[in-house]
Amino acid sequence: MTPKDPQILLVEDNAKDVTLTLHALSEENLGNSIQVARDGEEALDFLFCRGEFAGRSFDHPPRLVLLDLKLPKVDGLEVLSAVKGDPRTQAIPIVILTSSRQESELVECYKLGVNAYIQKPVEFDAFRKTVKQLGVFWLVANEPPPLTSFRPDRTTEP
Amino acid sequence: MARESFKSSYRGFVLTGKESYFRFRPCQHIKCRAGQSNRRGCSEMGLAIIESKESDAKYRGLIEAAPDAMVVVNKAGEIVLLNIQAEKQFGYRRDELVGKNVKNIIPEGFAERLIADAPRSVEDALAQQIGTGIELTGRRKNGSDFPIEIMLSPLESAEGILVTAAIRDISARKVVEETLARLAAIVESSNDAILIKSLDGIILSWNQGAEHLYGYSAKEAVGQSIAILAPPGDGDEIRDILREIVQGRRIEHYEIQRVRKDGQRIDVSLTISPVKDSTGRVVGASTIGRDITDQKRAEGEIKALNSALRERMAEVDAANKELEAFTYSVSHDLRAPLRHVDGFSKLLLEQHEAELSPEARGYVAIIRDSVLQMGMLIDDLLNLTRVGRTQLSMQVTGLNTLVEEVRTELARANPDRMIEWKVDELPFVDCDPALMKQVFINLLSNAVKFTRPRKPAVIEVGTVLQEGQRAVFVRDNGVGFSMKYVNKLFWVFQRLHRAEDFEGTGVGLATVQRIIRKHGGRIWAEAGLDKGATFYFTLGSGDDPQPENPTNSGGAI
Repeated sequence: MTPKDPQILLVEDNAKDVTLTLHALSEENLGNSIQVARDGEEALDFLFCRGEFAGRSFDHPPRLVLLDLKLPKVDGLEVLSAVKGDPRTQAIPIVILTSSRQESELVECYKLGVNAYIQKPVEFDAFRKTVKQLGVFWLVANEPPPLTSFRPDRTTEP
Repeated sequence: MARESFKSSYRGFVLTGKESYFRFRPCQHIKCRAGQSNRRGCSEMGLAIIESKESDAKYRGLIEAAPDAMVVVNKAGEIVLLNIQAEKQFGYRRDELVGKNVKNIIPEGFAERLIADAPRSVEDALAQQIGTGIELTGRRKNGSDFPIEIMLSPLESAEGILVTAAIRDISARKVVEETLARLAAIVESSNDAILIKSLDGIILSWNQGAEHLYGYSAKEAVGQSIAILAPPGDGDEIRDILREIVQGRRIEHYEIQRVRKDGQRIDVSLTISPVKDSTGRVVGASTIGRDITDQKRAEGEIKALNSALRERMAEVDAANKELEAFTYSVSHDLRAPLRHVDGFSKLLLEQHEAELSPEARGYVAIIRDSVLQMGMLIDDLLNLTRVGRTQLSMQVTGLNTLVEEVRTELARANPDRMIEWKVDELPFVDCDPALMKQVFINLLSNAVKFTRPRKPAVIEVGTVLQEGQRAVFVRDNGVGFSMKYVNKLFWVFQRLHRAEDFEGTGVGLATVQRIIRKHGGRIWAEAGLDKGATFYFTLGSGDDPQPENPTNSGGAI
């Protein structure tokens, strides 16, 4: 992994939420390795290394995707479905970070294989705490799988 | 009739095979001599006379062998002779009746016939009744009466004129006759149109119901073709029906349009059965028709109502979808700006505190407090609507477990409070555990909240028997409320305390009530101002103890 490869992909269309989330993450010194996608299409381009991210490699996936559900163009459920449905990306942890707690959506997300589902707390302190914990947990505490095991074109670790 | 009866009595004589024992007395009406007329037969009557002792004995044998009860009576009305059938029929022994007046067994109508009027001899009086079935009443030894038919035939004997009466018990026939009469009356008085038609469709009988239904009187209808009832062009249908009937098949509840005499069309339901003669051949059809015009109309109305209902259901569905969408936007779109106000006001305080005057900091604090309040309000409202829309997912649940979970959460959230918990053994109940936990969250956090001034706060949870039903209660020693306002307690946005004293949205108890009602139970409260409050609730009407709980302290709630 090169330093410029972001470790967190934040998919969020609302600029204010982006600011607040980045603020929270920066307090844990995680703010520098964040890529922000402002809609679902941009998120998919990044994750599947295409479009303006064609130069990226599947070898350097983000270690966490924070995904909003209500997004322009391609919504969060479609992004989740695409990522979890592709062997090259299915191991990437996706945490839904949404304002809603629609039960039907909650169930749908888990059926698609989401790793966690968090309703953004209204209270900023709670929100900040949650985001920080997420960052620390997935980037520091969690052990990601060996990448090659999810690359159909490469059967064993080199 | 007279000829018939003569024939039978004549045949009777022949049957004995010994005509010589009898001679025919001259018929008094046509002046003929019996001796000349015995074989050719008298057109009116014949009187037999017993000639000798021998013939008397033969006669006795003849009577004894008769299938009917036979009683021989003399002119005075005394019984001279009777057979075993008569004994059986009247319940007497022979010796009990011989010499007794016939009135003992036939109280009326028999002895009287033996009396000659002034111009008539006994023979004449009898002659008019020979062979005619006379319906009278017989009386048994035990006093019970029964209907009889008697046939009289006089005979001359050494003792003078005797009358032989063949007596038949006609109880069974009477029952049949009465039944037939009753059935005929039923047919006639039936509201259903009942008619009989021949196989070529000619109306043979027509009851009052038919008259009423179709407008034709029996006089007008009988003899007409059934086609007078068919709407123009419907003749084929009648032919088809008759074809079925000829096959001996019955047609039930056949719905068809008919035309009344006045031209009005009516819907009728027909049941058509073949009418067979004694050999089983189909000779006609009986039709029972019922007016179903109103029924048809009602069916039409029901159909219309159903389709209206379906439309309404679709509207309700659409409204529900809209509500869903609204709920979504409330939860998503309304929360987002709120979160931003809270987030940036917090950052303002944190990062620019030095630049703010104490007054400005106070304002920011108010902004943040309001955000908090609105956030709670949105959450509670969403919760309330969610309870309304959620299907209950029932499960036998130990209430103690739920209470313990909530108590633990509350204790953690209020570490500096001194609270004495008294939780009794609670039953296992069939409920939606997630919603039931919501009930305890609301009731117990209320109890914690409103006991804030108490040291220690005492919060009890237990059960109590209320009108034969077990109710769960949550009691606290908090500030309580005046029972004056108890009616407002469970209404949305109704608060009995000022926000400065006790925070809250006024939605919690409304939610609790909605959950309890969804479970078929009820909730109520008792309180006094500054004297604590107790909330009671029941779940459903079930009062069976849940067998799953071995330590169940007393029935479902």
